[in-house]
Amino acid sequence: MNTRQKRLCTYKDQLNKDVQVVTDAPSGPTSAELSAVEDMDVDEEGNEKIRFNDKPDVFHPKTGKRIPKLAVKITEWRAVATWRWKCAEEDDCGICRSPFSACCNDCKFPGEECPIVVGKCSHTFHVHCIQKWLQSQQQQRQTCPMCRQDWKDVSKA
Amino acid sequence: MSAPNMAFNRIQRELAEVAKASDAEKGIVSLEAKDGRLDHLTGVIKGPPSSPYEGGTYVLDIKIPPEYPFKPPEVKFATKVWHPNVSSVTGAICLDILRTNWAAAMTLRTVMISIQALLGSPVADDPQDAVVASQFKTNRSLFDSTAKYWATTYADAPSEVPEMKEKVAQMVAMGFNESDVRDTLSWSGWDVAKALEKLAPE
Repeated sequence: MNTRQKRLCTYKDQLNKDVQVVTDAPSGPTSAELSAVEDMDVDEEGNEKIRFNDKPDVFHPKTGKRIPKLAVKITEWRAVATWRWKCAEEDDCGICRSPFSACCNDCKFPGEECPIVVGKCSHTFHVHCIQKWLQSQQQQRQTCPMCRQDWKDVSKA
Repeated sequence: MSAPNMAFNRIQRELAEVAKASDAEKGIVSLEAKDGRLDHLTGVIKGPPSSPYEGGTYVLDIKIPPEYPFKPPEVKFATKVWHPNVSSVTGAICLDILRTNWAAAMTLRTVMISIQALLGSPVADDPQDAVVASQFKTNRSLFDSTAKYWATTYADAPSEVPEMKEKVAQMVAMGFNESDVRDTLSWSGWDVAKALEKLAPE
């Protein structure tokens, strides 16, 4: 096995994701080397790929061999992503008053487990909060708790 | 467990919001948990300007049901108030948003603002107190001075209503309980003979 020390470096790429790169170079990649990493993609299998700058290849003057653009070899990297819901509305759910970036009171973790929904009237709530509200309104018209227009979920469209 | 949890979380946020908002000059004075209990709160509002309640300080008793915010809070006046939509006996408030028109996105702050607005514009056709409502409709000036007298007496409003104060003092001198005298005189349209009949029937 390779006994060379692995170094962990973090930098921000253009997509504003925090990327941690593990290399087999003793001192880790230099910032210049890291800037060669232009973008990263997720292919169909869910594996991340790193693309490199489209700079012209450089060849060794004596041997004529192509010089690799990265003096280090990236053996492993981990992406740490930040996310936020796409919503133009205010940042708190009008029902539970928790931020959309947090979850409703019944959920433990924000994210796909506790999604937000947008009504026809453009008001936005945690899906669990609006469901509870609509259930509590059984006999009456189902209306948006913000504006009292008929509630229609348009976020699935 | 989940429902009260949501209620408590929301109340905590709402308390912080009211404390942060500088509504005091607009008449929303304070909202506080009673003895640290998040299901029983006390709100304080000011009587709206150019109304008989102007200058008065009104305390609201607010109970939070476990289903809050899917059910409205139970709000009543702890301070006695003479108003067509407030019971002069219990302080119960007749306000649509506290019943059928409640919506989960409303907050205690918006409720307090609505109650303050109700003080400024009574709805006599949907009364909580029939005696007060009929007086409001038939004898507006007597209603205004009774409301003012109650505001002075119970809500620390600065204005005075000397003729009513006098009538109360006159009956108290006869040995009746002061708050009974105030209620009975108000309910009898400040007719001392009628009030006497009610307080001491033959």
